[in-house]
Amino acid sequence: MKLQRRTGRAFVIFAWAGFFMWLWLSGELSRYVGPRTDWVIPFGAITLTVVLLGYLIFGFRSSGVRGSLTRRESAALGLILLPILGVILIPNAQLGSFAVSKKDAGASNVVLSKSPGAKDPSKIGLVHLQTGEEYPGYAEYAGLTDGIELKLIGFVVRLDDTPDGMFELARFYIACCAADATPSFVAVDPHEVAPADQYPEDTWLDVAGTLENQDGQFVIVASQIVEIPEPDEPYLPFLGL
Amino acid sequence: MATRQTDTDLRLGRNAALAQPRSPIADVTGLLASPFGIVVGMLVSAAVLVAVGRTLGLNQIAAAETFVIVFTSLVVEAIPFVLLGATVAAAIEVFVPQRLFSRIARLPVALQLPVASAGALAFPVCECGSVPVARRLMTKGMAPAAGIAFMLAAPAINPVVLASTWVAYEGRGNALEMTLGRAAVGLFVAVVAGMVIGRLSTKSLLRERPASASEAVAAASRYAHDHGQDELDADGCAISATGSKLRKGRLFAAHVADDFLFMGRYLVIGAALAAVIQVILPQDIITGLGELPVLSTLALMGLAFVMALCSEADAFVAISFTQFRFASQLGFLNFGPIVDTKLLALYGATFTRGFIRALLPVAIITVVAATVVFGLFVE
Repeated sequence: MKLQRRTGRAFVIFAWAGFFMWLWLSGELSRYVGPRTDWVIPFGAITLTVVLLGYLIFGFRSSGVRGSLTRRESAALGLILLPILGVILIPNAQLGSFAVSKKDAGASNVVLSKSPGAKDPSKIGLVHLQTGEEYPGYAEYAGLTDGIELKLIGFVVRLDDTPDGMFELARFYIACCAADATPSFVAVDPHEVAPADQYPEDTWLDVAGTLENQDGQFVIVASQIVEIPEPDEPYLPFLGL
Repeated sequence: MATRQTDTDLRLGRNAALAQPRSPIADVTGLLASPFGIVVGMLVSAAVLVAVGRTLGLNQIAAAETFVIVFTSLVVEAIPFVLLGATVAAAIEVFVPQRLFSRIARLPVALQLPVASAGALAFPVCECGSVPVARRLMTKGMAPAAGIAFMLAAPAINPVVLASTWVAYEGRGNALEMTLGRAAVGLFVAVVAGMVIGRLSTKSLLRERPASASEAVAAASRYAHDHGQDELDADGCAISATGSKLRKGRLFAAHVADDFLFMGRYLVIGAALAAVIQVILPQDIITGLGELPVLSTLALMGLAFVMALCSEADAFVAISFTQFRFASQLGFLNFGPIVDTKLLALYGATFTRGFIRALLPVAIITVVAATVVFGLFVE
């Protein structure tokens, strides 16, 4: 069975145009790129569609694209489709506790100039707490004091140094795409609500509780824990904190 | 018994073989090879893959999930820029007159190089887009030094990159130093690399690509134009002005597809390598070197190589390395857009090994030296 070279090439462009369109229209793009760079998805979808149409209308008739695909050409075209095949094989993939264990927790200094301060605890997120642990001066400036009530969304992680009877609540912050995702996390003491081992790793939770500083480590003493589905936007941006 | 072909048969395009009935297998394979057959075949294959994936429980393997997310995000982020670069390269090939490049080629290299580097300001794409453009400029006659300087400067000094660097470092109060430092170090490295590597000829720097339709036809068109001849179509007839425009449209489309499909495979290879390293290697192995002078800069440069981030957003990652000094962070910002796993694959497709062997030491030495000097002034 011989596949025409121009048909194979057109199909690969079609596959990528279709994949970008699907990412855009389904909202799945938030799984791979951050809010700051999500424009590349509709841009890619439209551009690839235009390129495909241009190729079908104009490029199809170029004399050199006639003929059958060789095995080498077929393998090269197949290679370009690998990411799409990966997504098909493992749909709904997410960065979770495994990725947290591989990445360095980052206290982004972008947050320093945009700190919500003690007046607005509702805007305090995991990255603020991570920064406050690393910089006690920042913790004081941002009003991260014992007793403030916080509400945080994240997924469960258990690290080697997580205190017994607790788990870490983590979230990824990204600038560009999932490849640069940096985790921030805080210890949660759930003993007033439920035993810690009730929550398996990578479970998404909505945690409400009180902030405590225990020997320089922030701990959320939970008063309410609700299991939730993975948010539509699993990653948070560094900007706009 | 086979029938003898008559003149009538020949005139009507029949041949003796058509007298034989087609086998069902030939009908099926013919259908499968048709566009309809391909689409159906791929949909069926996708359904099978989903079933296989779920049966094997691949989505329960955290390392596989992480790999797919990182791999796909790197490719998805880069593809639009590769496409943009391919489009610009195609436009240069098809629409920009050769005589312009002939004039540029006659200019002294000492003039071409800074102009090409500064011209990168007007090219707001990350490094993936600048590689096909640089290749095209060099094949059109621009001095290799200028082409390389343009390629390396574009991801460092384009307005989007500088703006994102400013925003990222604004919170720490040294946005001006880091933005200027990034631009200055980026330009310095681009010019030095251009001067050192550009002494080699275009022929010894650029890898020969398999002959593509677009290039063969473009060469024929250029020959006709340069020799004052009418462009000819496949039948040897002169092409009208309208026909010439259509021909250019076909060439443009073919060039864009050629470059995109050629670069795309190497982008996938580089992204896969970056994803594998991110899955296997814990980041704190590198970040643990934060306190050591020079080694800390080299460590972050190594991390930039592995992470293969887009230069338009890497500043937000650089700033999170709070245990490293500014000079080391600047090394991260400047080395990644010059060499990372993705780029290494793209360079491998475009340039000879001589180019890569020359680029690596030049890039490492100039980035380290420039960031050390920067650190002396800023820190």
